Amino acid sequence: MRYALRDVEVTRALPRVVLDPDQSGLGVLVRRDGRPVDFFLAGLSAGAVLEPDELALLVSRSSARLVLEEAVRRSLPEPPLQPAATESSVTVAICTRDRPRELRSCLESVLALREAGDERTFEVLVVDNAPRDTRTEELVRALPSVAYAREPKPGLDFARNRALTEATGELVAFLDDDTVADPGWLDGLSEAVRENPDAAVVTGAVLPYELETQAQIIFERRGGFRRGFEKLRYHGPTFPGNPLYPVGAGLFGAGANMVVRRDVVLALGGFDEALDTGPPLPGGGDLDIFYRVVRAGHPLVYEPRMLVFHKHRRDLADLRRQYWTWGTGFMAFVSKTYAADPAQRGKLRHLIRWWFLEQLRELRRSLRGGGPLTPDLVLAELAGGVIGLAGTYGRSVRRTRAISSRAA
Amino acid sequence: MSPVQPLDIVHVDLAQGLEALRPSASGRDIFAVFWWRDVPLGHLHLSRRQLAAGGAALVQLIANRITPAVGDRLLPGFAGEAPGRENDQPPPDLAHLAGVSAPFRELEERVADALANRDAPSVSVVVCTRDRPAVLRECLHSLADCSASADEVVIVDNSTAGSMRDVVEEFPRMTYVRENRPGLSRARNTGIRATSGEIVAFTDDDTTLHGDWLARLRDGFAEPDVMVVTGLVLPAALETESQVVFELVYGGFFRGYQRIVYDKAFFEQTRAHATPVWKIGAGANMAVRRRAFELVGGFDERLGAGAAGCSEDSELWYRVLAEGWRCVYEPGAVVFHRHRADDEELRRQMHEYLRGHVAALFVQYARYGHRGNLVRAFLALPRDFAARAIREYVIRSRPSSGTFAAGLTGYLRGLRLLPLARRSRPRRLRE
Repeated sequence: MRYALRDVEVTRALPRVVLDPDQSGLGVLVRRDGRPVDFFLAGLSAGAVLEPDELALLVSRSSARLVLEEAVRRSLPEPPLQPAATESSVTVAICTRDRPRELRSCLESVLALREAGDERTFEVLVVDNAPRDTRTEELVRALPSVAYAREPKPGLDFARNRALTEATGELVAFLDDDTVADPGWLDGLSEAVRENPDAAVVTGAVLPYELETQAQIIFERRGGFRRGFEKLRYHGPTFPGNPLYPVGAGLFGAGANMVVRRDVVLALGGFDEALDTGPPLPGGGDLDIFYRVVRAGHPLVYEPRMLVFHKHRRDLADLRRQYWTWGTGFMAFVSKTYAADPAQRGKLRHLIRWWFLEQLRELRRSLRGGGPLTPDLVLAELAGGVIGLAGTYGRSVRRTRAISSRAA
Repeated sequence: MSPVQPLDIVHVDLAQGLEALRPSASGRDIFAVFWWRDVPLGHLHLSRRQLAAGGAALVQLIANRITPAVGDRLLPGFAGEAPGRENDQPPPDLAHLAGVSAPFRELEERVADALANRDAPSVSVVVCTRDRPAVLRECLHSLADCSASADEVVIVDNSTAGSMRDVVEEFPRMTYVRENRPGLSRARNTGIRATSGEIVAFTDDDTTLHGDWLARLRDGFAEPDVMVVTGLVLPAALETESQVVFELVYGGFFRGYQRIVYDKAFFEQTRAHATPVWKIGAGANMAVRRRAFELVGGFDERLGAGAAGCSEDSELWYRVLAEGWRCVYEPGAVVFHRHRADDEELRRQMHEYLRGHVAALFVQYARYGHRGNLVRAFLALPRDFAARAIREYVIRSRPSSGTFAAGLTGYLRGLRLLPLARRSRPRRLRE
């Protein structure tokens, strides 16, 4: 199963879409004057042809409100209180491990931002995490404008912390090596920082780079990494309309596309190296840093214009592992926070209950053939959650200490 | 969940900028209502922190909140959806939509056009009142400001001693009418008989009216088969816990900022579970075409305040829809309602709502034999009470509102009015 992907600008004539015979659906990124305003999936018959007016109908049906909201947003007057503008230097850091092919396309998209005839400059840094060979190093050394650092201790958060110490920028933008930055990514970041000079974290939109396999389509149909297309600002102890804020840290964004203020994160002690270690606990580090930043009283903002495209897992076994990872990573974060932040325990208990109820609902849906997921995928996440609660974090801390002391 | 706090209500005319959006001196959160000149577009509960931060996230929140109403004024395809009805409106034309780059300028042009093309039927205003001179006086002051276009204004005094006469006589263009028999339905029917306008607009004595109220209600009758137009009811004050709970926890009388057309198709789609006519609007802000009273009768005097409790308005709308006519919700017609200020009054109100609601279901069944009304009275409402009891008292996912018992006893009292469900013929308004 494959889906086609189209990038549609509503202020221009729409294209005619011809699906390949093995494509049975379409993912559409809707833009208005270049800004992303919505993304949707539409199942179609294999090999279908959509005339421009049929595509317009699909776009209008799913995105009319957001297309208009963008015009409304731009037409609104300025609020009385505006932050003072500041400039911040930026380092784009890509942590990678033995994936030179993915890294190359990611780097190309980042370097293209710099070559867009723009006087804004930024540093690009690749952190090579416990590589098994020298392919990554050779690739980066061939690019004179890209800095290279090697982090021998395996684990994404070791690499991220290494990036924080190597980087020179006041802001460090972390992109996963399996992403490609949208040409508007840097404009999105500049806009978010201009509008929120006090923000310690900016997260951005993550959309699919391709929908070539069933696993990728399932992942995206479940919502993927999407967090909507509206600017959000999280600050302080409560957020209107969300009783699980700030412990439900998934809403803040995804580590595949996040920018952090270096001094703030260093002052908080950096990323938690016991999370995101690779197996057996390959997740949760992004949630943890978002949460700690917000709990320390700093604003976190989500900027949809700061968009990247992510290469989702191609096969179902990898997807299952990904959901398992989400379960363990999320619950490892929850159990760590439960111990570390007693003031939030009530909310965390709510969150745990909500999460399990949600999974059970998803499981029931999948058993009836309703939702996007098959039961094995739901069970993988559920099992991951159980394992994550059952002492995984403590074991990971001990293991990580051992790795650190061996390295020292 | 934080305890209920009073809010400052701030009206923001976007045409004048967002200057009003500053942290209030009182330190309270604000209930911000957004307008483009006289067109209401949406509201937001904003915290002090959100106001202090200002900036792009606040602008995005406002845009998010007002876009449906802006769309509804500019393009077909943005109308509000009647509750329980499948959305069958075609989406807006994308080229047209993408061409809207200055929505507020276009909005202004639309509003100017609408004002220019008025072919006005005659309108009478009826205000029923009872023993509340200070409240009535405030209402009549606002009515005097917006009733320039009214052909007549009649105040029906339903108080025990006819004590509202003095207040009414302070207002030269208003006519005082006495109705000795208690009951809001009786008072309204008396008001209908005492007036002659093609349109009869009703409000209660505990409201104040926006200057365009009457004009916007009248606009809603452009199509000849529209028999009822209801409008937007906004809180006049959110000073007490009861007022805040009523508006923000129960949703007040709020029906959105998009126009909604209720027609026979809506009625048929929702009939099996009792058409939710009570969502069409509120008696404090409605107008009825006089012909409707001839076609389906007046307000049922067994219902309403002073009788079974309430729902005399929605029961009339039920007949209007059942007979194939249309009701329109027009949010441009705005009244500000003074919600009950203390707990005791709020509890009594909830009691009366439930009792009146059940009575209206019985009456609706009696007139038309639509079983959905009984399904709601005997199955859906008990289920709702059970679910609410679990939410409020067992899992506590929502704060106990303190009106549960009042609502439940109101419901049980309503069930005792079961004789109203005996099948009968529709009653006509006596001339």
